[in-house]
Amino acid sequence: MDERTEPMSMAMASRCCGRLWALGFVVLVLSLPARGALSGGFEYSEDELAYTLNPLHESSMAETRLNELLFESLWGPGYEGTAEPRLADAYEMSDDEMGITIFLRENLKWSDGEPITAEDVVFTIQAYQNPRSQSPDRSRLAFIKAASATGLYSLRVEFNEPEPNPLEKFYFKVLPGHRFDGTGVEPTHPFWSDPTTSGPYRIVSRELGSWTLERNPNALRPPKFDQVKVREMPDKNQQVSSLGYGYTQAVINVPAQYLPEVERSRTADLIPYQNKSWWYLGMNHKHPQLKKEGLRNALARALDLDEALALIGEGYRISGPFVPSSKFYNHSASLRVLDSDTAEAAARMEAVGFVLIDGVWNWKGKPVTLRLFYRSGLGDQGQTVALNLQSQLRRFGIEVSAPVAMDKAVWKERVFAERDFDLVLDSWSFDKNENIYDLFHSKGTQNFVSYSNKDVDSLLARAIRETDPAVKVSYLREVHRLLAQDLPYVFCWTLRSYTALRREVESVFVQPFYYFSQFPDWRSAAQP
Amino acid sequence: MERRSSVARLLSPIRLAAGLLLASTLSLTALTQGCAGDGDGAAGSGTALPAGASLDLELAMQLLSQSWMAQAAADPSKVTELIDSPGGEGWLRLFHGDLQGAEELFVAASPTTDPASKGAARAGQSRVHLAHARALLATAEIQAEAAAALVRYRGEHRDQVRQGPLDAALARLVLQAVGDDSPASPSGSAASAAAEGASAAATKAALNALYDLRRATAAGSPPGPLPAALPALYRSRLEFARAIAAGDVKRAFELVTELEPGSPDVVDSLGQDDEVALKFEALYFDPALPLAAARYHLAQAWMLGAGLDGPGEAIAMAIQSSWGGPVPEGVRSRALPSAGPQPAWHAMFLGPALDRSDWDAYWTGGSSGTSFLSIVQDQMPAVPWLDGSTAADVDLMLRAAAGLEVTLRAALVQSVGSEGASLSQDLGFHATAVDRLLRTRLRSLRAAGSALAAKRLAERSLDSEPTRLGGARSSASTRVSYRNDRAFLLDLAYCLWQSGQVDGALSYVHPLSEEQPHLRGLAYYLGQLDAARTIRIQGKTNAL
Repeated sequence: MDERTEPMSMAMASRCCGRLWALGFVVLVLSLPARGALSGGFEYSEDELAYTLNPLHESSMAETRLNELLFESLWGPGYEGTAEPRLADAYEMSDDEMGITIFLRENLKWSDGEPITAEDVVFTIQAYQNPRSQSPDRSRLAFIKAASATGLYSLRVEFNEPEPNPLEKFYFKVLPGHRFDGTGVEPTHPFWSDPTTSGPYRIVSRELGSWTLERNPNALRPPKFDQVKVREMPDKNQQVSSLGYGYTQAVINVPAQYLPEVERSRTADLIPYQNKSWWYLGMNHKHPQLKKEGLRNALARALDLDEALALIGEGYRISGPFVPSSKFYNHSASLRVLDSDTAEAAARMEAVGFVLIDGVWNWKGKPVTLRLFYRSGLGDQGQTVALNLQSQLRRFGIEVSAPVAMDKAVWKERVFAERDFDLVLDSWSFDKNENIYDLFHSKGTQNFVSYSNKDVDSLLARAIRETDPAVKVSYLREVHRLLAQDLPYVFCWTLRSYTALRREVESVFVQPFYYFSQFPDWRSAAQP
Repeated sequence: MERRSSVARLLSPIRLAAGLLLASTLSLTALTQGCAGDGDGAAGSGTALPAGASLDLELAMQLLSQSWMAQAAADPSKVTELIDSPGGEGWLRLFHGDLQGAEELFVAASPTTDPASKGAARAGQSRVHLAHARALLATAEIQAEAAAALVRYRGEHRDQVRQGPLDAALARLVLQAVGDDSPASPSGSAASAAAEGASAAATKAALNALYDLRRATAAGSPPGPLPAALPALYRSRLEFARAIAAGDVKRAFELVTELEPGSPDVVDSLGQDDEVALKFEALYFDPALPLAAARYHLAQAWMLGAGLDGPGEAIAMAIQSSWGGPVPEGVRSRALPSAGPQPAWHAMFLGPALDRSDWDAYWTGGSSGTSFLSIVQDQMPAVPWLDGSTAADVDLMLRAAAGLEVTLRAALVQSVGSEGASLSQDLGFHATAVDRLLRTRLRSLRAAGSALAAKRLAERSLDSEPTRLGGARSSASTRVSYRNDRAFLLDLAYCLWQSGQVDGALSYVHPLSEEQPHLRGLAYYLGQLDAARTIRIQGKTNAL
């Protein structure tokens, strides 16, 4: 069997199973008594299962959450929001801030019993930096010029530029070098589903629609829960029901329409979950017409995003690539969100040479037709919005094919690698750094729409290098302004984000973005 | 029938929200069954509480007997009377945290032109002003701290940040506001001094003069004239602050329309980047303005509410304890006369404090009255309500709070009629009581520097349900639910900031600042602090 096809079929099968399970769930939940208190396990649901367990290729929040349970980094986000040592024990910065010597905790082991050494860290850095690995996080490690082991538990890392506060740059997960033949690690490497771990848990089984984890006997931070299970449940109603009955202990994201129910149940706490995310409609700049700013602008004005948003609840419309509470969001009066204005949209279409014939826009005598995809990880909400956008564009006179959902595997192949799409609906989530460099820099690792603007490139590069917060804010607000003009995406909205956790789970601390970072301290009230 | 419909009007938005989608019926059933299965109260924990960690039903009834919740549930006709009075629907808005809508309804009842017969509307409008004032006082305090944190950051990273010509003068003012009246910082780099124009030099001299003036005033000198070279808007804001502090309400009312809240007091140039044609600026927001705005609201609250026969005494106490010194005679003398006898609980109705003693503790920070938390501590000695701060302590508190909520719910519906029971249950009086408990402890934990423990209590007591009735447009689309009182939301934001989640703090402060421009200074400082945490870090980006 071709290794490359295995993950895809795995994901597809799991999705089928999830839907069948959804059908049976109504009967199931009505016939069973409430589960009651937790035993030694913790279960949670995701809209879409993690596709890969290899941190090198991690690109979704579901994967980030699961990898928090499986892998350790050198430093990680602590309770106070600052870097706390994990695999690292100590460090020495060079006087010129051009390098750091890192000393690892000694005698730590991987889940297979092999020692965790400085060679593993060096391997990890090289694997991330190797273009053959195709890591979406490659640019996060671009600050490292070279890394070499100086002892079994010590390594020297040289920087490209002075780094006054580098610890937070070492949040990437460390990999076991002995599991790989070289630093070019392809996404199909078997590690994706059979990892050797350093974190609180290791994989015990993968069934259709779920992953099961058990305690890693060699864990640096031994967890209180013996076992963790994550289930795929694309249906939010199913997720909330399972939480209510105590079959699961957490719903990662509770949509707005379920907040009142969960709030009043008093069996679960709703906790704000900061993962700055926003939805967008991406437009392929390789498309002969979509590369025209006039067409993109016309499409943005032809769409009534308030109408689409109302179908899935409530959210906050945005005019650019940040959430409105972000320090980088440009609130200038000239950057208001675009209101639907089909007359203006039509005028812009005509201005760039499109002709309306019998209610259909034509380009050089042929009707304009576009294909619309959305990522299945958006769940039912994605389908609802995609259908609505298709309908709106058709009403405007642009033929859009029926929206097609893509799972992660197909998405990576078709959208990211082959760039074989016209319009895509998806969302991005960011940690506190709100790094949009890779999305909009012409050489960004996640710039799949092939957007290119040298002014934006220049500003993004300046923002990365800048050391004055006031100046960095100014650079990125200017990037916002330019992107709102260029419209590589139609920037849609950000949604309220709460997570729900059963009250019997105690000592809970949810990190922004890194949901399970403090999970080893979580416990069941039933535990002594 | 009419009586029934009035109470129903109070309840209807909640019932409306509850009757959402067909699809949610199943989940509601599941959640209810989950709750029902928990039986005795440690809702969902399935774990028995230790002796002394729960409350007897009769005792709970006794503890709540003087609360506005018990009084409203015992006689819903009084609630009906209140809602049916002129402007009475404002109470409904107040419950949902729609302060603007509430004020409009109360004002429409013309309580100031006909003060003798509009006592309920006056009490309501007074309550709106008190809510604004408390939030603004919290804003001034947190803003001063955030500004100081930014000044310290920039001082510690002097070689990495740009300095404007006003940098040192502004830094001194910022630090002075938090009591750090240290000697003058260096007066800026040689480059910034060279770039300093005549205008900047004059402003700098004026800022230094203001610093000296404040120092002298703090030492007991009479306030001298404000420096003439201050930016005009800043100067008029400081005049407003002086007028209201001195009780010159007439002058303050004249100036209040010229304040342009939301814009900075001073803008300092940080130079430019010619290659990308960008100019850089540092903004300065003086906490004196939100403080003065708070006093302005307190003065209004005094005028409308202090003279009321019944609720007036509690309203006056709240203002006296919040003013920051004796309430000036110019404010006291403006109190409108009594409007006839009213129930004293109108001062507290649908608010965070439970009864008069708890109200006093709420407004004085515990130096007067007895908080509900203290009373509960006496009755539940096994729970470290007053001194616990570890993760295990907080777990026990939260477990006990879940149990207590069930007991309080039962206590509030015992011995009352069905309408009173519905009123109590549907409006969640029991949850309000438990929230008060947790939020009181939150404040003391916050003051003690235990932000993480405080954050967990805040998360439990946060009402996340979007406001459905009025309120700011952003209420439904942002994380802010105005069903939480704004001062609590600012407490939560503070805890988030102090526990390293500055972006989390901003997710509350930013939407609040869209409604209340006086919060824009706080949003600015938190934004800068948050940006500082991202310096030279590229970060991680994922699909949802």
